[in-house]
Amino acid sequence: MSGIDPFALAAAGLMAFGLYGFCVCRHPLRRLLAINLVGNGVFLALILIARRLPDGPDPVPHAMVLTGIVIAVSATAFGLALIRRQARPEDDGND
Amino acid sequence: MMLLDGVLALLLLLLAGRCVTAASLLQAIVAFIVLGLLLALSWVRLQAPDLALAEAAIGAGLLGVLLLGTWRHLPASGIHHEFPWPWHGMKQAVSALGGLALAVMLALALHETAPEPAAAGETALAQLDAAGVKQPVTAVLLNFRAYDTLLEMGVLLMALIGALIVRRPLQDGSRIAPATLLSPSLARLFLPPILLIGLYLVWAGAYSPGGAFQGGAVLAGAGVMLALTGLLRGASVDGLWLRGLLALGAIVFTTAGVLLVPVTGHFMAYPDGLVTPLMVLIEFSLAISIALSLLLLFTGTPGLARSRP
Repeated sequence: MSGIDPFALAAAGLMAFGLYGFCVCRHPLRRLLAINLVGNGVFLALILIARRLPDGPDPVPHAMVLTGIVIAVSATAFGLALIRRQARPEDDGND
Repeated sequence: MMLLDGVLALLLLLLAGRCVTAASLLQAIVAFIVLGLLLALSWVRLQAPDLALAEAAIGAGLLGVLLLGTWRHLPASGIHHEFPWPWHGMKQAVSALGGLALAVMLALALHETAPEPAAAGETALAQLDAAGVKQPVTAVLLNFRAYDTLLEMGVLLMALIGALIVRRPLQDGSRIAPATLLSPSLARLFLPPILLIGLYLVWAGAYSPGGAFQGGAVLAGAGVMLALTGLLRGASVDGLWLRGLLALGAIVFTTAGVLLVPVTGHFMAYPDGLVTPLMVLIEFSLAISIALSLLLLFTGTPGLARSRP
């Protein structure tokens, strides 16, 4: 790897912004977004590492990130349900 | 192409910054959704088409719908912005320094580490013939590291159960179709091609990018479209068949693993002759469960019903 990979910088930046947002933001929805930013940074870093195999990208990190995306979305959906309940305790589920 | 990578990385950084600093919550959410779409493009550039499909369908599409749906139900003026924390400036400075330090360390780590032999990845690629599918990522997900995927189905179900417990139960008949610009006839027109694409993605997972997660997410997207146009609505009653379909993926996966123990001697090991049909069976049952789970996470109800015209 000669020079700096722009995606490595992006991965580092996503994690940094996520950490910053998680500490500074007060709205729970923003914190949830910030956690997801950190997660995306981790995924990006994993996929960059996966490129190092000589004969094609390493399928194991790819499968792990695929699993990670689905788990991140389901955990976020659960977090969103909690936020909705917290914001409007009297919400009876009507849309 | 280096230029394209640079522009993509720069946009990712700008959107991430916008996401944590934007004044309005809606802007932050929109920045996050656009970031998901650009991330899907980045996966293509990083030779990960499987992830690009998953990110576009799940990460940007469904997550965006969930975020915007929640935003719509939040009180307009949140209590969270009204009074600043004491030491807010110092807290910001410390957080920014911490974030910067993390970024520098990670960038150095990604840049400096010498390439090492990736034992698991090389083994997976070498054993691909025994996996029953030609696509390495699908082989790892459904065969070599099947445990991960089985437990992932468990996490998805747990999240759904948790979300349903947190939501108050609906009163029957209280749910009316939300106002939307999408007309039902347009949704009816788009439904067949979307279903076809979803099923094709599941089927294609055996030999090309695609698979249960990507296909399942597209199928869930079709359901979300129907729910938004009012053709499908959440219901407070759930049939046994629906619960069965939700658990179908985990059940088929576990049953295939357990029943073949006498033949192969190991849990979740598949005999050579049966491996390909088993993979396809597992993949389709996983896709059905994933699609339904994601759709119910969107509607927030334990059941689904067709709307009466």
